[in-house]
Amino acid sequence: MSFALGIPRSFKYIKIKDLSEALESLSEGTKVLAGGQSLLPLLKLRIMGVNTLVDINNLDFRGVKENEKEIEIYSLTTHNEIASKVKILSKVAFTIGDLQVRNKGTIGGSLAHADPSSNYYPALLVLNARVKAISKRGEREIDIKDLYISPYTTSLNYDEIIKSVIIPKQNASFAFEEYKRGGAAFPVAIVAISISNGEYKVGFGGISEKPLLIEGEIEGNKGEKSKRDIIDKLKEIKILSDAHADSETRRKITERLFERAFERALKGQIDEIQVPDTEISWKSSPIKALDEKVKVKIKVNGVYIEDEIEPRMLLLDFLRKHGYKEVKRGCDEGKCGACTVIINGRAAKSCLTLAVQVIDQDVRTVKGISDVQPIKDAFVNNYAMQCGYCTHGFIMVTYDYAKHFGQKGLDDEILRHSIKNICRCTGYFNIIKAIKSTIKSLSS
Amino acid sequence: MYIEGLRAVNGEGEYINDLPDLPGTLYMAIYRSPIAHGKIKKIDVSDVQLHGGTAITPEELGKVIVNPFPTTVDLPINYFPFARDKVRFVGEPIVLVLHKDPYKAIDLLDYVQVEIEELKPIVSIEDSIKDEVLIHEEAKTNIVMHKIMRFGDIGRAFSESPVVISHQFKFSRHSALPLETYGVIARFGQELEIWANLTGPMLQVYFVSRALNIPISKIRMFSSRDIGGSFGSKYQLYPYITLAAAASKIVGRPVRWSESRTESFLASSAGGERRGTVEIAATKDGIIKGIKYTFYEDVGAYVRPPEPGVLFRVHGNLNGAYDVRAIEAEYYVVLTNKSPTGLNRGYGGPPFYFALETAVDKLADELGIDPLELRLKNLIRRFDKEIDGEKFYETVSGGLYPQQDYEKVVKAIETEYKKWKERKDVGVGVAVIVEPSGTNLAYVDLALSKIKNPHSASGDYVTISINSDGSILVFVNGTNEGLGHETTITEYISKELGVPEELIHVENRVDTTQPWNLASGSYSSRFAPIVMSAVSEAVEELKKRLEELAKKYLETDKVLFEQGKFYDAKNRNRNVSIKTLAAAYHWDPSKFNYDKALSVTAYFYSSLLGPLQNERINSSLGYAIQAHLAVVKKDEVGGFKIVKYVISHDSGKILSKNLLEGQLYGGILHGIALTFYEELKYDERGNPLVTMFDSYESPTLSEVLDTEVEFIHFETESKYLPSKALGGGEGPIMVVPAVLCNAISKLLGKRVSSLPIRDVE
Repeated sequence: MSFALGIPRSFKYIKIKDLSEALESLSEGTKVLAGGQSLLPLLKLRIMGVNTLVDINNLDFRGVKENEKEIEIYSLTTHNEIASKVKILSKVAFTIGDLQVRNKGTIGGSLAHADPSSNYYPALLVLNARVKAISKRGEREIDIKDLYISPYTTSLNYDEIIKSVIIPKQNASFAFEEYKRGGAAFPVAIVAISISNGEYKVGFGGISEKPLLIEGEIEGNKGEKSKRDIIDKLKEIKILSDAHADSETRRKITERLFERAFERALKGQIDEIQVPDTEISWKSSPIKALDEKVKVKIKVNGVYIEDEIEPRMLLLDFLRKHGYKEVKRGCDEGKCGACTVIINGRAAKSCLTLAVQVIDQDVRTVKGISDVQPIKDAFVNNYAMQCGYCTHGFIMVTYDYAKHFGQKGLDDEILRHSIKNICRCTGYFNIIKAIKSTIKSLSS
Repeated sequence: MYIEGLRAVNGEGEYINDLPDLPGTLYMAIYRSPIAHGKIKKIDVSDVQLHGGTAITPEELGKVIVNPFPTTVDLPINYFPFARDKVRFVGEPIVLVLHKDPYKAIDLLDYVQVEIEELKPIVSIEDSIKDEVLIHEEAKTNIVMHKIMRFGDIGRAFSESPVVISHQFKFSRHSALPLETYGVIARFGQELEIWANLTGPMLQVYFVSRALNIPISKIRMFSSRDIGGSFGSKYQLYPYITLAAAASKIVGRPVRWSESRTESFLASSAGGERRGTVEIAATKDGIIKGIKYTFYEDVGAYVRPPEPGVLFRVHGNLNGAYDVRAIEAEYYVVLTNKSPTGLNRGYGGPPFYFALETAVDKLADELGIDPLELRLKNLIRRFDKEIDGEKFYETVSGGLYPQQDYEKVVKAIETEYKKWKERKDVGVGVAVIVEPSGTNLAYVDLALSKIKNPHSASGDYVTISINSDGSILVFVNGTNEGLGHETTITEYISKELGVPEELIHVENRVDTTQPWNLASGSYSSRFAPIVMSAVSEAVEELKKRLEELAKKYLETDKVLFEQGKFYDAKNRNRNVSIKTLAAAYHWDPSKFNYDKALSVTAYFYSSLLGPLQNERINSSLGYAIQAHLAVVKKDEVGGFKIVKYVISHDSGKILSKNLLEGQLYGGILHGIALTFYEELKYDERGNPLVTMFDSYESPTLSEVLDTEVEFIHFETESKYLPSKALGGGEGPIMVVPAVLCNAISKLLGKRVSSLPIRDVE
């Protein structure tokens, strides 16, 4: 049996140039690739195989439009952009994965992927959201309640792409809680609550096969009765048991998260995290890689590298093959961040990026960044490394973090959800000092 | 100047997978058993060949790997690095597949077909000791070692003491898990050449030589310059080195293997699960009279050398920090259908001190005495054994603790302890240990009933040479896995010889063409007490030689040495720098009429480390006091978070404060991970449940953002060692799980002594 994982099985790859090509390319056996931060791990762990990946990152489904009635978020808007632009979803989006995952991962990708522990589903359920899907047959709207069918399965047809997510504006409170164990990427439980005009909507994620929505009227003094009703309803549900928590533990955690969130929602609060505005795009040269190998040209540290590669080749392996050995592999699942590089100015995991996805793009390592010296100094002066294996990845993510968050990056809550690279030697204490001292030195 | 740190930030580290391919390299992928226990019925690799690859079956491997690895217990258990007729754990190698493209080598695993008839797997210690299903039929039992050792009058201690407590514990299977996985390059022609990320030649060369039946002189083993972390785990590379070597021999080409992260979770190395009981006999006012340990150690499917050393690494310090003169230790080494265990950070210390230090808290509860006060009462105060003018405490099991002020070190946490103790919203816990460092390999012999040849390997070599321009080259047969050895040696030599740090180069890597011995390598915190002692001796010898040369150069009979220069004692205006002296001696030695080189290979070995004698042994060269305190609070969902953590310790002379603190920090996190998150769990079929960081729940910086850490350093120079320094970096993982359990027990008002703590309250 193969436990030698971390490298996907072969597939064909198409990076479309426009919408009509995208819709033409979809057929049974194809899979849409958006941010790839959930799909690529499944391919790398060989849990899933695919004949052809259709990369839709060249579509203009980006950004947020707003009028008096609703907010429309285009599907390729990344989690980090949503956190910065859509107040009501800021906490929902910002608590996903880590900085690198949020730089690439998109709301459309997340919804289409239908992971039971997705942050968006419980939130969008309580916000009455709709999803606009597009195919050659035209556009249609799907109520968020009808989108998720079962883990990794949605009601989308294979020829449909999510175009946008529409959230009606309403005068409601909104509270959001999620709980992760250890450095886990996926939450044990997610709770979203919205209350308006004496009516509550409670969404639960990560605790059952399908995100749940419980609705009703606020009853009892300070909603006490409703609170008890909801906790009782939770008891009737078959709660998931996995490596992170058994059912009983998960139920307890969910109840406590719910109680905290419910209290805030009753008070009329709207949970949000304030982060600086940001724009991210992953457009690149269109390509059809239908043969075993394809010619690519990638700019690394300012120099164009040409090669003939398999479409499945990870950017990580491409870089290492061409001598950029500072980029390291530390895991199979896209978690540890040792492979982080800077692509078009943003930190991304090179093991969750295919080399064919960055044709003609600008990839940089520590050896090709002119203004990285303060970070290097901060890491050495604070003894923020031991074996040195994770150091390059940490410097890369710190570079993006310090640049885009500035002083705000000193806030522990921002840091907690952003830099989640794994270091096995230092215990992080000195790394935290180095990151903070970098930010201070850059702003002084 | 933090040399290794600079290399890391500049992206200039050289790790095993950064080495270039040898010409003609084939990449190896390993087909591993998906079944925990079963008989191999059929192996078909014909499809691998059809798809352009090469496959090597157990039958072919058996022709090259002719011997099992040496056994460390009395029973006839054959440990080969591949399954022959039976599979005994999920992940056990069966077939090797080779291809010139690393991606394709992995694809080819899909074409290997192995039929396995499943047998009932043994997953728990409880099931194993029933002996209903045998993992190795030829051993006739799953309990591969059972020993009772008694020191002092244990019968009297227990019969005469008014208070006896019995305390049960469970310590979980854990890997400190370096971020870099295993990597091997093998080229086996007339001779065997190996490049691997191993942390020393130590016994690995010997093991490989035995398995392949070739002389040690025909094995040239090298490491990369940097190792991406080890924590002991890379001591267990030798099975894979052997496999890659055999593959290279069979195909006649260099073979390269890089372990996937999933494989590392499954089958590299981990510390085993331990269950057991600690009984303590004490007087009513809390004087400990005797301790009985009963330990069941789950070593997995094979006893992989140096296992079951995990039980004996602490043999000399079975009394911990306490003056206890009666001890009984009963050990069961038990097989299960899990991957074989091995060295893991703190080797032996974490499960042992977890058992002892949670039991001491239970005794405190029983007696109604404050746990810190109880510990203070029992601390060692008499260091009355004198050896060569130095004072030691000789433990009842043979350890020699150098004199330190234990009371002062432990009392240093008292103020903080009192500050938190009365608060109801937090739990405060303490624990005290003596940290062993600098292993005496002889302790592995404790597993045998009859010892054929006595052992006591523990020393090491260091070579220091002065070049013709006065720059200095140092060679150590160890590695950089993050401990800062190059920096420490450089700073030391620069200070001693007055040569600028920039002129000193430390080559710290495994190279068996250079002097090494069976103990050489980086493990058991042996750098501070042993390697640095060799450095110190080499420097002293070089100084002597330079002094002789300086006398001749300055034509005087007495010289003084100050900051890199020798002065004529009679006339300070006449002087010569090391640089000038070295140049003169290199270019024109005839002028000096001197027969010694400006290159010294020093060998440090301490006579305090002898072989086993009547089950007593001084198992380590250094022993250092550490006292920890933790303040724990409930988090928002009823889990726990650490508000404050304090370490007070005396590790002898501090060679580099920053580097030492780095080790302490790292050890704290490993302890936290082990207590709350990381456990290598198996289901009832023997399937590993953890194959990813996500399910292992390895902490990120998020888990320590709210934790304040304080270090209190004491520095009693250990004068019996040339380096005057003891190990300090393994202590925290030995203490943290116990301290946290003690703190949580206080917070909850009930005793917690089973790891990991995953439930919410």
